Amino acid sequence: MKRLHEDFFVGLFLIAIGTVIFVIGSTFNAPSVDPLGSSFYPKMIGGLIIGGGLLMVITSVIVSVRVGAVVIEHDPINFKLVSLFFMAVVYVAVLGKIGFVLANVSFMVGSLFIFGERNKKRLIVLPVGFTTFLVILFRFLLNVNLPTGSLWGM
Amino acid sequence: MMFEGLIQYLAEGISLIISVETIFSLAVGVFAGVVGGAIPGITGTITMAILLPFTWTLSPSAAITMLLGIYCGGQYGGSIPAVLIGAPGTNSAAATVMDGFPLRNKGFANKGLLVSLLASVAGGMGSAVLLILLVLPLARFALSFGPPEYAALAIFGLTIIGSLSGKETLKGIMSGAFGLFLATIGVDAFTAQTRFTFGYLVLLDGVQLLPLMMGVFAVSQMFTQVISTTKGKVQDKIDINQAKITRNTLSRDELKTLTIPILIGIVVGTFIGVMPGAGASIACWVAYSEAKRFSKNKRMFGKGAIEGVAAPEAANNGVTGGALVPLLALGVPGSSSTAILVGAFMMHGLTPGPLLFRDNPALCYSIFIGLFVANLFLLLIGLGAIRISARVANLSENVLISCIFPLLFVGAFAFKGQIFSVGMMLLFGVVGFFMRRYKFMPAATVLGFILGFILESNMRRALILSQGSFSIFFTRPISAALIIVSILSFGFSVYREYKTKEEEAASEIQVNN
Repeated sequence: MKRLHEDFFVGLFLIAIGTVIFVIGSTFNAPSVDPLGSSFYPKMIGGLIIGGGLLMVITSVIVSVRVGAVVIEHDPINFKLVSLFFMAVVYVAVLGKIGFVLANVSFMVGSLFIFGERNKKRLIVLPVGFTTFLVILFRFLLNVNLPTGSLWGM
Repeated sequence: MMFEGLIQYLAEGISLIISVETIFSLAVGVFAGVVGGAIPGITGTITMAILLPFTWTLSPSAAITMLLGIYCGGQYGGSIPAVLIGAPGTNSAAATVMDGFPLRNKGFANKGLLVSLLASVAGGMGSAVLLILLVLPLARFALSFGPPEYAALAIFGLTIIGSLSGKETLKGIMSGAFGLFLATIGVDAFTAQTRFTFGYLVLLDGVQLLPLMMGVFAVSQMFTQVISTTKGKVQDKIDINQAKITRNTLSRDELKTLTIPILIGIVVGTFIGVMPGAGASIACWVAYSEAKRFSKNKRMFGKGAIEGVAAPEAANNGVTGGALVPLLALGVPGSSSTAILVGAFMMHGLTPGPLLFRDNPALCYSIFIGLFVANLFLLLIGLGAIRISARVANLSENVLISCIFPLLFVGAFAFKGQIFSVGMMLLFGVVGFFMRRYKFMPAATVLGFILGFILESNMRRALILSQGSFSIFFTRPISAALIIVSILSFGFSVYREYKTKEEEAASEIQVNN
């Protein structure tokens, strides 16, 4: 057995999650008219996840021993994905401060750029055009008050 | 009670549908569904998740019928790339490739697309008729359900997870358990105890269904697409000239030939759709093989037989009506698409299930009529949308992803006007991405979430009635029957997984030898 099946680690992760749910669930002790109370159900789910995790750990060890290392190839998490994710996080963080229009245009310019778009005209026209479309659609047709940005005092 | 005043309810349903808002929403929904279904990797379900927030401001009937339009359009849209480039836009169009692409190679792309459209429309309409016939008696029966039956029904719904999970039943169950856990977050309705809120006031109302669905269905899929496009898994481009419908001709004999496969597709699609977890991707293959069995031109199958396009396309649209049966009659979604429909109901303060027929019959009937009208629109829009769909599908995935993300952000925000919802959607997007990566089932999480509240609240109510005795679930016949069916259904899923893995191992050994 050179290497453990990846499900071994996934199983361990599930056991950890299940334990947290079970332990926190055990602290719910408000008086209740029903015989189960607030804590039974979360504890049951926590227990189910722990049980599933254990089963996964055991079966992955058996597979690893019997068949040997099972290497599952995943597409690597690359720079583009990480950048896109962080841009999305920044978008959420600054949306209230700088407003929808600026946040959206910046996000789209950034995402197009990291995806390899270098044509300056397209880098401007697409984000501005699409943001305008969204503003018209949501603000004026669907009456949604999009964030205007606290930084600008609006 | 439900059959009394049928004409009156039908009239009220029609009046709900015949409004500018609903008709426009339906048309937009069908169009968006066709375009979404035609883009490989997007699917009708993801289109529904992306456009769900748009339904927030609509009336309930307009919102539900718009989503139904996307559902129907998406099933048909998947056949466009299946015929034109031999790559199905959705899993449910996989069987269409078998004969649709050979038809295109023979120079009959237009015929393939026309057959696909006619079969889709016939499948959708036929299943709408069967829906009405099946759902009303079932809903009337379900009106007699009490808390033990609802709890047992929720358990039965959870066994759907076994079917959704394919080869990974355990991971499917774990995904469902995660959904059950998410449903416990917030204030406990029985004791007012806050659970898993960690001091965040915004979590007192619990996890929001819409950001959850948008996150695990759409955002996670976009993250996955980013990796696959970077890796160079580039889809073939659709030849726009091929997508141009020049001669939409089918001879009378050809139309006659289509009757049997379409009927097979309608019956297979509807009944597979009724079965929770089965869905269009199974129905299309079953209908294809049955149509082949009953065909006089068996040898033509796989070489461009129009029956080979008609049967799977009628079946995958036939699923739409079938899938609505458990949703409307019992309140249990049997697939990802119907789970999104539950989200739309909830957004409008409605709970699908038998009580909806009692409390809001006009809306229920408007859904029936909406399904007919959606298919009618599909007939009108279907051919016209082919070229536009082809153009959108040909857009660079990077441009699509750059546009879809802002649509998701603004959609999640519009739901409650909270930036927190956008953050929640993003969080569930990351969770969904890793779930997909390690073969967990995001759809099972959503089902678990929806059924979690039904299960817990009814289980606790039942135990109050029985003064704490679990025997109440086994002494009432319907509840006991549902629990037995659940055990059998779950057992079948586990057995199927075992058999599949055994067959795979056997074929691997054969290959190695």
